[in-house]
Amino acid sequence: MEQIILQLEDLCYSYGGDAPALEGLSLKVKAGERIAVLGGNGAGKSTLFLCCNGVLHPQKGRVVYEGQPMDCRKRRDRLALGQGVGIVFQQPDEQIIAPTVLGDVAFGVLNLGFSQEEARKRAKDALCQLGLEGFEERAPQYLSGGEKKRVTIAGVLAMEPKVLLLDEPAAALDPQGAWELEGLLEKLHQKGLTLMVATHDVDFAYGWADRCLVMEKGRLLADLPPWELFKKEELLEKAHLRPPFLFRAARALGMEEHPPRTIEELEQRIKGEKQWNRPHC
Amino acid sequence: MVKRVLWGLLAFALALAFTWGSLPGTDALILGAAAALLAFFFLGHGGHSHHGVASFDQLAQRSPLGKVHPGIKILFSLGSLFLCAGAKSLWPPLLAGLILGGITVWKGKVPLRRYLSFLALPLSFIALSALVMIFHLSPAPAGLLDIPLGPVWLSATAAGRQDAILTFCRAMGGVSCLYFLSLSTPLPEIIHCLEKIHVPQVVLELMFLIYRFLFLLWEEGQRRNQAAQARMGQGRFGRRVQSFALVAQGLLGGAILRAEGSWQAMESRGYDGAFCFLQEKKPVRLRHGLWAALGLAALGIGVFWPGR
Repeated sequence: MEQIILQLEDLCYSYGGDAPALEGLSLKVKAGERIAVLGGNGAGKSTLFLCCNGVLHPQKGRVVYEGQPMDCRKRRDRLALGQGVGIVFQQPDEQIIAPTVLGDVAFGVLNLGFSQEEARKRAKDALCQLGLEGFEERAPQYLSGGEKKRVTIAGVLAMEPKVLLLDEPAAALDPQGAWELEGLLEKLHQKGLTLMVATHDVDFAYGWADRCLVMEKGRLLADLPPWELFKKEELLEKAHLRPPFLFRAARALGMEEHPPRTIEELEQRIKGEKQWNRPHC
Repeated sequence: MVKRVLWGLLAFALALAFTWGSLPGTDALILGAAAALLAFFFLGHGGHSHHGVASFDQLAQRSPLGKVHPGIKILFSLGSLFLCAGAKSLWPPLLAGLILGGITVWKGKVPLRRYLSFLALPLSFIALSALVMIFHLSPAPAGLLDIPLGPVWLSATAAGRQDAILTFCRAMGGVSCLYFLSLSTPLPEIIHCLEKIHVPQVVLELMFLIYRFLFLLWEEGQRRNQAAQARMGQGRFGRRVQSFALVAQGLLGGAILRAEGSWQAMESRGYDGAFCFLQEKKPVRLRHGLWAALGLAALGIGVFWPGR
């Protein structure tokens, strides 16, 4: 029985304008799940993440982490949630604050109250995990986009969260960086982290996620596995999403019942069918 | 090209003004010409480098003098600065300026051309000020050179010239002392030292944040300027002014939004009002301390030696 690590109950949040940013959002996240959060700009994905992490306190509803309801007005709960649920923001420059890479990665750990030695050790470990050995004394302003992104991820991993929320992580990356990121997500999944990725990339969501959440105007439109979600055409149209390329290809090839989720799977199945259909001499 | 010519003229005027009367006429002219040529070749270009803010910081980050404890560098640099400012004769600050400049270029591995281009801006202010200091208003012609101005005379006096030369040397010495510090010690290290002398926490945190955001603002400003240029916003003077105003406005708005995002990012990592940064410990080497003390002592003796 998988443990429910994070639960949102009827969350409502408004920035003070006419339309609420989040409206009646309820969600249960199991430990180790890979969730893709889809939706256009302004759908409420970033607001959702900030509520999960404790930066924003919902006006209605509550956040339950590891079975404990969290009240983010209390410092202890805020720290617990901030440590357990980490966010990697879309723009690395917004997140990097310290004058050295090591200093920035240690920032979160020091805020949690750990000693200088422990923070240094955790920061160095996190940098190693991200392949950034030797970058400790570098100044962040002179790093490349991909390196900055890895520094921000290391900064959150050093706090040893159980849930990692990534807000459009591939946005500031080149194709090489995006490919390395996918490898990193796989490594983190193997370690048992629960991952939620907000993304516009339906192809990535289709191949990677166990579960897709579709958001629009602060509401949750759908909560389905990707192979179920992309069959629902009216829903996709309402959410302004197009089906992934691989899904459409599989449908065209008559594989709609159990569509392949990766290119390799598609290639295998096509080869397999060809072998089956080849006339015997 | 215009800048170079102006520099050449300024150097010529300054050299002539300082030496007229104390050196034979032809020698003074030769010195003036030499100064003009040097200024023409070394000072007239690269006043504003492409990297702007980043160049000082980059040189400081990469400096081989980074191994020296920042406290020693600060004490040495500020001590020399005060001694230069208080000197009563021109040789101690002049020598101090040259020696510190030499250390910065040789030990600190700052390219000479870059160093001279950094020196160019303060040098221009000091040179112009020194030229002006030579002149006094007096009721009757009483100097080496007199210009009538209605009821009074603008006279260049020997005393005025002494003052000008002394001020020039003091200022150049002081600038070299400060450049020694800023080209060998990145700002975060200086801030850590300020922490040790109990500068208020809020001031230090502001310094850290401003330091970090200076680079972001600079890059953003460059990008917006390039965008304006791509749309012909940098042609006539009037258009350049307008583009500048719009870029500045955009930067302010963008910075406010950015600040909101950064605040949320800090809070998401547990920031609760007090910055906790990693403390970097550099060993204090006796050798460095001794050299610094020796330098200060030598300068101090030069400044306070009686009977000059």
